[in-house]
Amino acid sequence: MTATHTAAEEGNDWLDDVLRADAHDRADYIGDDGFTARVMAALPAGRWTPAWRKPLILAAWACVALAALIAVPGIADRLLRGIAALIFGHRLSVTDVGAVLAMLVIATWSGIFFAARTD
Amino acid sequence: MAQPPVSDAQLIARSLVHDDRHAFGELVRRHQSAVRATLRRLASGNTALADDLAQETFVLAFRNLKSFRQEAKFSTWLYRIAYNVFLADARKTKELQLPEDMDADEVSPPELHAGSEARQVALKMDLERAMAVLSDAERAAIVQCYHNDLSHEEAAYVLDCPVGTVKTHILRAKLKLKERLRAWSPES
Repeated sequence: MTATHTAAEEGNDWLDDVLRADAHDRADYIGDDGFTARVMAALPAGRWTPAWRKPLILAAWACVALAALIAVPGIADRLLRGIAALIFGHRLSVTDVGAVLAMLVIATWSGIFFAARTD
Repeated sequence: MAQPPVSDAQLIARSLVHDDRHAFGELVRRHQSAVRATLRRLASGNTALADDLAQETFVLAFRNLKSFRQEAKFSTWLYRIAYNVFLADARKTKELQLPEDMDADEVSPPELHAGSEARQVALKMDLERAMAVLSDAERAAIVQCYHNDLSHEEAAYVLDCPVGTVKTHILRAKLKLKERLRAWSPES
């Protein structure tokens, strides 16, 4: 949308002159006087996230996962065995399948929670 | 070496892609004067109301920045939001608006004002009063075309109406203004 000439340039009677003169007189710059700061303070907080937030959240989830592995004895071993059993086609116990499914559910919900928080 | 000025499009991209709040702040700083001046004219000089509406305009612009398609200039897009904000507020406070037909005696005869400066001040005051009796749409058309120096097409985008309607609003507005300001006409 490019204008070759503005609407105000088309009129040429005495009222056009009055309106153009009035517009010219009012064209002075209005000083900011804290207006921008008030706008920035009124903006919703949720839309923008700082650039460091995503890696921080990823690191936090990694810490939680590591803590869970350390805190629950045998969980890492069972998880690895379950994955290995799935990959190599060995018979699986119900407990092994349950452990793998539980970890998949936790990973999925963590992903959903993360995506929802950063959108 | 001086840095080249960053364009509005670059600031918008930084705001959207890099979540750069400072970039949006720069956009506000650049356009606050024009938006506030437009709203002051639409609000018939009520600066407090105009600044409140201007703040609302920028908050809405922030929320809807993703929908800005660069089909118009960023300033024109802001004028459009500002006009919608003004209309929404005007609908809420309709009963407080001035009656359509004010007393014609409020226009001061030019011959009362000796000296060209006094005449200019009196003319400004009379024009301000005359603008107040225009409908919101008529006043908005005058503000966009004369004060914001937009083309009819750009004004139509801002006011969200056909170009023909903008021209009609301006024609009607000028007829009303001429009637109200007939004492200032060179022929009188």
